[in-house]
Amino acid sequence: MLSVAVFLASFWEWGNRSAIEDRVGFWSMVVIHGWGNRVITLSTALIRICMATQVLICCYMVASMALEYDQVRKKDKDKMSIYQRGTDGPSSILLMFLKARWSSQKRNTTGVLLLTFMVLTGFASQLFSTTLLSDFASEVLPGTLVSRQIPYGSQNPDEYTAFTSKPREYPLFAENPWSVSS
Amino acid sequence: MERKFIDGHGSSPGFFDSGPVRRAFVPLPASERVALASYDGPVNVLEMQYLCFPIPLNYIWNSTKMTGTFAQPSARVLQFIAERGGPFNLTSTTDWSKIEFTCEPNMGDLSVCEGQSIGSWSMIFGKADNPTATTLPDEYQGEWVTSTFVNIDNLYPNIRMKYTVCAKHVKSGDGHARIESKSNLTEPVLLNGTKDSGREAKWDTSAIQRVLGVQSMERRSSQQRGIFQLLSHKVIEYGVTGIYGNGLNYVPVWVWCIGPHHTALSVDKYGRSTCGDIDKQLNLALLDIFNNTLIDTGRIGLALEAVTSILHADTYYQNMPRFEKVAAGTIKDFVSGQAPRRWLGFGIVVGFMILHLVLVTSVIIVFVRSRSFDNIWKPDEPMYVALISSKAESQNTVSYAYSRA
Repeated sequence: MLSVAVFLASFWEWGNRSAIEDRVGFWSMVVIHGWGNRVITLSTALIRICMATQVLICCYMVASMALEYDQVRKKDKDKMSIYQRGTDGPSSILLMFLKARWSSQKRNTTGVLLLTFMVLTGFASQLFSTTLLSDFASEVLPGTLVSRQIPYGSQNPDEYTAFTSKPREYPLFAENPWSVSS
Repeated sequence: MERKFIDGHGSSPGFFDSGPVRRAFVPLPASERVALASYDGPVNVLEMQYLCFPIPLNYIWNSTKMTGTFAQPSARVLQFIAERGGPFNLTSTTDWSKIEFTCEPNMGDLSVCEGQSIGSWSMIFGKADNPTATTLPDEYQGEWVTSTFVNIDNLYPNIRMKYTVCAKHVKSGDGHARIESKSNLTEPVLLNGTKDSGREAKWDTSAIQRVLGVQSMERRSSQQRGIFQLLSHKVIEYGVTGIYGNGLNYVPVWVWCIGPHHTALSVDKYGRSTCGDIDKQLNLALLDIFNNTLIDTGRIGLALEAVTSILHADTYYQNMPRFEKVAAGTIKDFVSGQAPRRWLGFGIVVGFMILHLVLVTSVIIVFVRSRSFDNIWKPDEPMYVALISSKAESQNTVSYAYSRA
């Protein structure tokens, strides 16, 4: 999960560089080919898998400790025993903790808080992709180098009459820098 | 490479040197030009330099037509020319009396005279502030001198006019260049309406002047002007652009309509021009670019440079469909894509990831310290048995029942 975070951080660091000449390399290719969104989707999927796995393991631990420290109602303990080896997430255990707190006056504040935050981070992780993509903006970058044959001159140029007609365009050109002195 | 001006006044002549300007035009349509990040390939290079200063005239002014030659300049002008006259083939031994001119000055506010007779020179006449005060001595201001001109035709009075002459170096040719831009550019357009209510111009030409570098005398980089930077160039074959209709092999011909006829182009507020015996309406957009440049910079050399650039470019691109010579080039375009441009979303995500890691770590620490952690190393012993042994005294009936079973 940390590796993915570092991977994404390098993308963000590259994207927030101000000088366009610094914005080259791997990430430039990713953006030019329109792979930025896919990178985010795959990265956040990896993060979510890691988080879900860790949360699941934590749920087993919490279920065990809930039995050990008697933090659920008596009638929920059989279900909690099963949750030690298989659970459908922190929300189920949280529900039991809350029921125990309200109906049986169990002192399980720490467990409730832990599970609440786990549910919260689990929900937030579903929005990671959207949140990361909110940082994206349209960007103009140097593309790939293309070689081709370019027509450049004519043996039979046309007559010029523009002195009396409005110029069709004011084309850009390249120029050497110059300075002013007096 | 620099632009240099020396303001003379009173009896001292001033000078203006536009500096050597090299402009490379890429043979690509506008849609491709504006997307260029870098380009290495064939180009058309326009070289320009205007050196403007006052010079005495030996003239005959009969009715509206003035003919004559240049006269020996002052020592100060000669020194200036010696320092900067290289590209113009001017030296201290130049025979000025062989530089002939034919002009029709005083046709409007400003008259620009060019033609084969004065080859690579432009003569510019303008109205003096006090045209009838003909007894005053010559007065200098910048590159201009105000002098009294005597008309030999009795029907036309003597008149005071200001004038200057500009040696011009204008060459173009096809070659090869490397150019680049730090950002994608947009081409300037003429805006309808004056930028200054005090002016009579119809068009706001400031965007074009900015690109041409003739909006003010401030130093501006290529990026500030919105043009490409010319990294290197080599002209392989010069044409004779600007020498009025000589055939060019690989570059298009463009002709000042005033050139072949030895007559003046009257650049006045009405945009009237005269080419030989044919009256033509000078394009007002071009006229406004000329006038606005002159007003903004005060330099006739820069106004001529601006018009020359536009005419050359317009001709070049007008002929682009006829280009048949081909050369290899490499092009890198700017392309648009989606990239992260702020840290907010990333920060939120990292924040939740840290919170998650804190929660997981907390659970692990608490779990490791609990007796449940010891029991997980006993796989054959169900957890609830361990639970019963530790909680028997707590009257856990369910666990107790399990243990009994």
